[in-house]
Amino acid sequence: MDPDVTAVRPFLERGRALSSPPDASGEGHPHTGVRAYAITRGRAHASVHLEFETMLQATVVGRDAAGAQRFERGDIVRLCDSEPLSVAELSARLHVPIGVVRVVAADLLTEGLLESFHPTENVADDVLLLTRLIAGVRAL
Amino acid sequence: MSVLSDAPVRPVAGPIPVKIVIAGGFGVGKTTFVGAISDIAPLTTEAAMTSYSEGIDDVGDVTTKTTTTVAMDFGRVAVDQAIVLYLFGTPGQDRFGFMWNDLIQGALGAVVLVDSRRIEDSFPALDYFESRGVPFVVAINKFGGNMFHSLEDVREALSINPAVPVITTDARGRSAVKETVLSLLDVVLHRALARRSGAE
Ligand SMILES: Nc1nc2c(ncn2[C@@H]2O[C@H](COP(=O)(O)OP(=O)(O)OP(=O)(O)O)[C@@H](O)[C@H]2O)c(=O)[nH]1
Ligand SMILES: [Mg+2]
Repeated sequence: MDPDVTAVRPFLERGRALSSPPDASGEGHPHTGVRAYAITRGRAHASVHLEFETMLQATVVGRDAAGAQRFERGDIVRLCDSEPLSVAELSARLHVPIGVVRVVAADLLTEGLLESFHPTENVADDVLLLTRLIAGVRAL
Repeated sequence: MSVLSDAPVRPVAGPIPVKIVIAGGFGVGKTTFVGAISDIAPLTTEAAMTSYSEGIDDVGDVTTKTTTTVAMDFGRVAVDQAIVLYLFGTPGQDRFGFMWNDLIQGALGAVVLVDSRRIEDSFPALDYFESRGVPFVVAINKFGGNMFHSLEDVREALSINPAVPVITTDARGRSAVKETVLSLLDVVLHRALARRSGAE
């Protein structure tokens, strides 16, 4: 791409500020923060990297053990019991920040309570998958 | 249903998640766009976004790191028996650029929604995707009415590479949204094909 093309954009001269928050953002989920963070045991990083769209499903072992899991651990296993759900969906449905879901779900994966379906590596070069995706979207 | 008899049944291939990003200024129609094609009503989640702004102040060169929590809307479409397309709608919000690295990781590309009355609101998103080489298309949400400017005028105001598609869309219309997504996927596929033939 020609770098000059972008240079003329009057980036700092806009009249309007862009930072007014969206209407709904004030609502948030104020009650979930502390408890959710407690269960990550203070760790900020997960043992397995999960993308927002990585899908998770309870294993047979996980389903059997769901009742014995506390807090978000149990919630996550139960929510993705019948169908695989993405990290983002778990976060939204549990009202827990994505980062917390990532840490807890990574533990559950390591312990064999969940299985994961990761995005395809180098998906942008996967002509077969892209072709299939396009055909599928066209047929929607 | 017996757990034991079901236990050996493991799907040979599970779902394949793919994602695209719907970006643009506040109120441009991102959530509406996602909702028009999604199988589920758009959900909202929170993610910490880290932005770095560089500048010079009294103590010299500084890089300020700010972490903000950004609400992200997203939807999901079962495209076929395996492929699940996720659409993440998120605002561009920082005057100095913003870091969406987490979100954009593995994304096929982006639709930058533009309101032709407030074209400049899309600049942060354009700058971001251009600087990272993320494929994108520009879609002017017509808000059910007339365009305030011609497509060519908008393209000129955006000063984007002539190869980037600039199209109109209707964020409320399923078929318009479908076409917009397809135009992005077309760009992505052509890039993939070009890279493949370049590698031969
Ligand atoms: N008439 C009309 N209204 C629209 C259209 N697209 C969006 N809207 C309305 O514009 C408002 C903002 O749309 P949203 O989809 O919430 O926009 P957004 O980009 O998600 O907004 P934020 O997440 O707050 O940045 C809503 O009231 C929509 O109903 C459109 O094509 N025509
Ligand atoms: Mg929105």
